[in-house]
Amino acid sequence: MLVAKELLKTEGVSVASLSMGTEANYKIMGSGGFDLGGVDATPNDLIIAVKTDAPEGEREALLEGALEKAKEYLANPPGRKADSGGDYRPKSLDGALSVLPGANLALISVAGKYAGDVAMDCIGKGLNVMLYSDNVPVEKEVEIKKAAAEKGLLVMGPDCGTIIVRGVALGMANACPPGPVSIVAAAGTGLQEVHVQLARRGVGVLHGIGTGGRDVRREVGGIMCLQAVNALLADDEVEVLTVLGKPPAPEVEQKILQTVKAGKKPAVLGFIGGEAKGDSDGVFICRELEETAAVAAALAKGEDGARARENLFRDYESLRQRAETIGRRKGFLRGLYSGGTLCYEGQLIARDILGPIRSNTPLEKEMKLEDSLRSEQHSMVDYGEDEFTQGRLHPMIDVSLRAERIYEEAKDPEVGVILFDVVLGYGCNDNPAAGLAEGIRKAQSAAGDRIAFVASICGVDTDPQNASEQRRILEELGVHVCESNARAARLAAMILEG
Amino acid sequence: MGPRTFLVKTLPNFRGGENVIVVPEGVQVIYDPALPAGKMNPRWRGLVGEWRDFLADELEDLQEPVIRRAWDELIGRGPGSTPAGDDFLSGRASGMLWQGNAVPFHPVPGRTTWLSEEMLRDALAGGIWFRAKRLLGALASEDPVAVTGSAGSIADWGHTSGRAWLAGLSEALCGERTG
Repeated sequence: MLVAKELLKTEGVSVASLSMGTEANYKIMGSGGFDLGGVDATPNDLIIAVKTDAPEGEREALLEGALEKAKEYLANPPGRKADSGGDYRPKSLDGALSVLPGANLALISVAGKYAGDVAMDCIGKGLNVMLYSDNVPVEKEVEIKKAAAEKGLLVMGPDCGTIIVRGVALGMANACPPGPVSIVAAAGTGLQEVHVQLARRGVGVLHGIGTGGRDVRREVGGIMCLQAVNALLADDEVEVLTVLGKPPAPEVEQKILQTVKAGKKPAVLGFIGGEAKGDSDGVFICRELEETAAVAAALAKGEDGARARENLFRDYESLRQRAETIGRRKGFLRGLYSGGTLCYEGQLIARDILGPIRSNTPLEKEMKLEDSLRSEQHSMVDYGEDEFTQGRLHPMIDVSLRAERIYEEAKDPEVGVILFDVVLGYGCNDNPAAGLAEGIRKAQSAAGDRIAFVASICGVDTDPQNASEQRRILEELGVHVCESNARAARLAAMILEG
Repeated sequence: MGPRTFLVKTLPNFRGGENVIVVPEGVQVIYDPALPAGKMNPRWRGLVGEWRDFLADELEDLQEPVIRRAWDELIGRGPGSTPAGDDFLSGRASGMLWQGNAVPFHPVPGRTTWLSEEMLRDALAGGIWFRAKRLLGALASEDPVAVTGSAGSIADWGHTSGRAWLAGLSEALCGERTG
């Protein structure tokens, strides 16, 4: 079989077959279009059969060549794997459960149109589900979540890239310590940013439960968000609960608020860019990711959450001085993100300072970029969107598209600041700063001092990539690195302000 | 040592066109080739069942006779120097005899390679090669490491032989195919 595959690589060979000359194989080769009349092979003979579309005059030489090659390959089989004797890995759910009958979590990463049915199989067997797959129809999402809720199981997703269970990361997550805070999030860079910001404040996370981005919309009704909130409220090891993501549908937000208040545990609701205001009854309402982390960390330490928030925003004011030191720039802001929630938060913050921001994932429909590859005025692009990931690796794994885009943006004489995120952790590119460096150097050659480069690093030193090392690489290139996405977006906007 | 190992381990290189006479008498058998005692632990049914799915891609020529349960048509059929259909039948025979069932096919001599005939003869006589013996012993146990380790060593064997053999064993141990 291997030899036949190698022969197919020969120019002029359209079909190749190597089979023992048994009666059964004669029939198979005959039905494959080979005329074996006149071939007097026994079962112990190997028949090498080759079809060619080569002109009559070339066939003899081609067949001789194929025969010689076949003999050579048979003597030295190409690409033959060593008989490794490695362990067999089950391919089916039943097979896996027979090897690991105590499993209670399945991680699903198959094409979206099949993922829902696979999830239903898992729920039927009593498994919680981490649904990494995207492109799951919303009707299917509702069906599987209702089925899971009836059995007291969790469906984390769809499009859930990050979860933390008892301090253990699954998917793309950071190597942060466990601790008294737990998070319910859409699951992605929002969860990662809060996880990292808590770790930088010396506070760990026990569980990070992803619900998928649509869960808190009207159609899904917050089924899994509420399931997760209730589970964490009932868990005595969870001291502070955090719920974060884009603002829920109003009726879902109400349910979440009521559930959290009834739980009587300190809680922080971080609905990014949400309208809800007013901390009460031990529940704090935040609008940004670092803010959410700062308040949650304070609560975990028994400190004043409101004071922590005030201190944070006072800190942000010092960014104006940093902007002055860097030097004001003219022109437009171009943000190039790998994290969807980070891009969303970046737009919210920059809009407050600079005005409307265009994007492929805009805050308002009318701000949608006509062409995601062509920025207009102030723009922020989320490279994690489907248009960039169909048939390609996620930008947190493959940084090359963004590196090239950094250079392209720098060639635009109206660009004054380029802003980007660098997301670290398990499953991410093993050296994203180095991967982006070439694009940054080319951009600097093209633009000179016209452009200021601003970045945030979502990661910690214990991540495989080492956040401090990533920071060093970027700072040596002259990039202004900030401690959070919120600070980076603010600094970038302040450099252009006025 | 079975006939394949005997050939691989003991024969020198030959020039093209040389005649070879094989006299296996006196070769030391280093393990007990009899089927092990015990039956499959029902726990492994899900795992063993998935081995029927090996009959895809390179082994798809075996699918149709297996679906029709036309075992005779599998003799000498398919890829490999021991045609994969013979590996399938050998696995099936071992599985059926291990379960205490009779084997419903009897190969007619001359329809496949001499090596396959030897292998089928041994399997029908209740003989089993050492990797397979290890697997059957593991399948009678509760030990997942033993099962996945021994299954891996067979799945890896040859280009298609191991997988075809496992598919045959699965057919014997997990009953009727559906679909």
